[in-house]
Amino acid sequence: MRWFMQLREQWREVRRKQSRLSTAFYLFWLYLEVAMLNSRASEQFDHADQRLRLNYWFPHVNFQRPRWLDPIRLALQAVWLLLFETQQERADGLTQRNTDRTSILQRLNPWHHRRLATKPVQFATSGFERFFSTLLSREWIPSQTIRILITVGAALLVALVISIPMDATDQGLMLLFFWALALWVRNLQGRIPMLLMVLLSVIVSTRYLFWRVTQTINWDVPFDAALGILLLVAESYAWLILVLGYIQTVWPLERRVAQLPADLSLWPSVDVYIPSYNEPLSVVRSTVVAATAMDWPKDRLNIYVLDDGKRPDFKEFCEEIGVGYIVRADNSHAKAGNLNHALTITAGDYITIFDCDHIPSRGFLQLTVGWFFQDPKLALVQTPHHFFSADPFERNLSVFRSRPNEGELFYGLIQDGNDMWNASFFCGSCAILKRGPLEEVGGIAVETVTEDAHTALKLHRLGYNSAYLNIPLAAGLATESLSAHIGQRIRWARGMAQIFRLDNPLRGKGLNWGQRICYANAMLYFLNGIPRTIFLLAPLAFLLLHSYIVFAPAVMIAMYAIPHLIHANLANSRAQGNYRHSFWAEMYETVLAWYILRPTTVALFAPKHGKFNVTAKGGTIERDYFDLNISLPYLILIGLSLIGAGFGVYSLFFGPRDELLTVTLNLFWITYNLFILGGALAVAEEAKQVRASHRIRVDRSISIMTASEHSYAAELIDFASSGAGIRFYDELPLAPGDSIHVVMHHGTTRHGFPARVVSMRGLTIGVRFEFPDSAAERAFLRATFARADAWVGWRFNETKDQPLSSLREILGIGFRGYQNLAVRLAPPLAPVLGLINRGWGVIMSVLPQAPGTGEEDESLGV
Amino acid sequence: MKLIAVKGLFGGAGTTTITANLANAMRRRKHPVVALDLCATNSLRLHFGMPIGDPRGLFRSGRLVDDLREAAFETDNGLIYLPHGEIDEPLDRAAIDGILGGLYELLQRFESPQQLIVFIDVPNSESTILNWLTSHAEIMLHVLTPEPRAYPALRYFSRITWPQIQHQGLRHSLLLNQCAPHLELSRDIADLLRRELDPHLLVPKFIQRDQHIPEALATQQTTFDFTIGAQANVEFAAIAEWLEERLEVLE
Repeated sequence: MRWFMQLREQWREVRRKQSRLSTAFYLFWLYLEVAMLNSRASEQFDHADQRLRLNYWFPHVNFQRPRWLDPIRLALQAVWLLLFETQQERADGLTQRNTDRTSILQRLNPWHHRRLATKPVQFATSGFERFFSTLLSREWIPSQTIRILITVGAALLVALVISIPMDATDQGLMLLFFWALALWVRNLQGRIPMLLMVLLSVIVSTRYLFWRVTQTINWDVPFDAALGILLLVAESYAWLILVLGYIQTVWPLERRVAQLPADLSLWPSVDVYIPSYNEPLSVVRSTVVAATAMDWPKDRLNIYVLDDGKRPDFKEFCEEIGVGYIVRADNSHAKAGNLNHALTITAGDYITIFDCDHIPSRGFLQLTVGWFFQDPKLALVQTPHHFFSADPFERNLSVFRSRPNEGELFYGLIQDGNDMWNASFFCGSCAILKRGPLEEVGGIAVETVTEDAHTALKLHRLGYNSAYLNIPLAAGLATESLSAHIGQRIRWARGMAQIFRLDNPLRGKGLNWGQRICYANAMLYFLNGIPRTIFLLAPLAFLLLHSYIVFAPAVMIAMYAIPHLIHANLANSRAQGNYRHSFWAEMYETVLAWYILRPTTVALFAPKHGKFNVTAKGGTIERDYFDLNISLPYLILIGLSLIGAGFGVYSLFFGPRDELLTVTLNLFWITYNLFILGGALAVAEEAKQVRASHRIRVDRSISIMTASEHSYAAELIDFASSGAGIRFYDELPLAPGDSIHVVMHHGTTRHGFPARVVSMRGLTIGVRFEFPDSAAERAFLRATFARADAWVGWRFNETKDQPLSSLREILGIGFRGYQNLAVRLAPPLAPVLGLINRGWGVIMSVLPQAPGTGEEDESLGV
Repeated sequence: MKLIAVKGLFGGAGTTTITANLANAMRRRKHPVVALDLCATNSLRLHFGMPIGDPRGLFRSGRLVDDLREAAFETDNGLIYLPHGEIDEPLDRAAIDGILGGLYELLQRFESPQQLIVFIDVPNSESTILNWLTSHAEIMLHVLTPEPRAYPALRYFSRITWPQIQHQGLRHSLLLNQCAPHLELSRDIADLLRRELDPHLLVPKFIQRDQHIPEALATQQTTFDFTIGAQANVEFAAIAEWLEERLEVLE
């Protein structure tokens, strides 16, 4: 009888919140959960083992709010769980291979039996893993002569593999073998397996290119030959960039921090330059104050604001906080000229340059200067440019801090790879330079619009070294809109092309081969405008003009081209996946391609032409808008591609049978292009950004003190230079307008900053700081933006790239671009699209999901 | 049995409050905890809700009780506290040594005494008690507040007290109380102390000024029971955790 009373009580409790049907449903599942998984309420409360909960196994079913399709979800999920090994189980299997503790579910799982069959492969894998790791640690080739002989032998073998002609079947078999090899070593740790994958990729791609050059140009038809050569040039360019990129990034140096001498009197004097032209004081202010808060002997740290805007409020501000203020008569050579002018006025041993929005962290100098003591020929230490606001890609695609951003590849990997070859170069900000060498090369270079890279090149030519410290030690604002972003990249592209012409790194004195390759790759990379446009147009040659630009049977094309693409993707995913997910590069480059095409071409032929443009930052975007100007070239490309696709589909049904495969290949290619172009459209859909100062999301324990000196524990959820968002654990007797102190740590000190409550929502309040003086502001920056560990944990070293899900993501973004466009062109379509989206959502929600990925369900309080 | 002596570097540093709340924080971490009051002011008990007129405690008419059951009280969460007891005249100094020895004996009779953590509120001026604790306690916490008088007090401490209380096995730590992060003087003195004192001597956590602490006492509760969200609770918990590490007892 007692259990009946209990049941009744529970029924009543749940009924207070839900309908009869839902209550019955809920209690049914609750009892089932208790009966089947043997879970207990106390264990659930402590989350002792999630696997004892139904929610864990059926993350997409909300047992408290049943929906009509839930039976299908449950059935599909149950079948899926029984038949397939989940990712979690795979991971468990890897960590504890020899455990006997297999659950019923696992034992029913056919994959479990299959694992027995894969034992030998596993054995071989672990053997190879050991072999690879010992390769690094010992000198396994005894003499130089043997080493050379082996190298020559291997090179001959590779040349043979690259050039041997084969028919489709043999080619297919060989590449299947290569592919299997690459997939096999893909998950092995260490750099040797990665080298193997890179080598495979180079071999397969070179073989493809060799075949393309020797066998696929139809010289008999001049028109086809011309177009074919055009495509071949583009592909050769892509191959070159691929190979140079591998060389550049295959062995990143991963430099650590070097110790400074213990004797403080040996620490050199440092000038900090903060050049500004038209940025508002509100942006520059934090940078200057944070620069004064850097940990360095005060008598050897001089900060200068180099104001090309010659603004009185800047002068006043600099006097107020006691930093130098430098102006000059003219504004010749823009930023480079500005820096060079300051160089003649100040006298510090070292020059540190921060763009006016890059807030340095307090440890910047202490962490970077040490290397100058280790290496007397060192002239430059560069650190990453880190951005705490979303760049246009991140904002418009809503992927801020969830995917590696566009700059991550360069600052996370390429510069580190350059460092291996002593070729990391100056990026204009967040760097420290030695005065002597800098003056020796005549100051910052003024011949090109990318003065930074050119200055580094000149230093390298004189035999000086550079270093790259891959720790974000300063953070700034990303470009605010797509057009500004493109403007900045146009400048870089133009400047790099200029250097390539005026001071070609492949020629001239003083550089080693690694440096030449790294510089050349950095410059050649920006010439990708023409090749990428060619790739976007190439399928049209066949679909619209019926020109065989690759003169080979479709089967052969597939046999050569697809492995080339797959291997390049696998190797890149392995080498760069942590810094850029697969297929994202396509979108980044496609957006820029059209715009850098012209300036780079012009700069290649007339390098002295062109002027400097300043990148606008710190602005707001009042409302969502679609940047039609930016997208116009892409709309034209999309139009052409759509026509091509139309013709393709037509000939699929009504065209000659023997062209079927060729048409299909081209249709695949053009569909892919269309999705990438859709991505470019999605990025041009500017999402609004209304806050003038950017809020940085954090999750940090702080406390607040009320006017009555009651201290409360709280959580800082975001901060900006002027305000913060704070969450409490309990209701607080506060009201908007109240004065409080926000207590934060900097170093070992705790500082209470006076602030006013401006908003309240539940347990969350927004405050605006009211700093009494610049000392308080400095302390605030040290506790927030300039904290030594402020930007730790922002990078994506742990997120593994998964090419297929990345592809799905890119396709989704492309699709979204077209949806947005459709709504812009024909607003009445919006509900239809909404319906399609909802339908798609429902279909996706029915599919099985990995256990444990569901959101924590709200408690009913039973 | 691990004894933790809490002693003020000067009067009004807040030893009693810290003893009560640290004991409570430690108890919340599931250790068997005793809070012991050796101050004749007999105010430790007030933090645990004992009526102020209740005369019971360790001492009755100048001598130690025979059975701790007469003097021990238990709070809702199982913390045991031993009030000093009301006395009419100061204890006989000569007898204190013996009394403390007897007290130690009595504490040994607790269930599993080796796991017991005893927080002792130590009076400022009793050198006999201090001497006894020097040879029996594990950790001695010297409480001070970041204000100007901390300076002469520290001077006296290092010249006079320090040589007396050195003993093998006893570790000393200075604990900053009532830090006011919004006041420049308090901040500066705290910074200065942190810079000048041996970093091993200073407890890495400190207690921020919090009006919840006196208000909790006014309502005869620990701060945790008074306001769960008070910053003081975060700090007492952090210090309890730090003590756990130093005493090598795990939660």
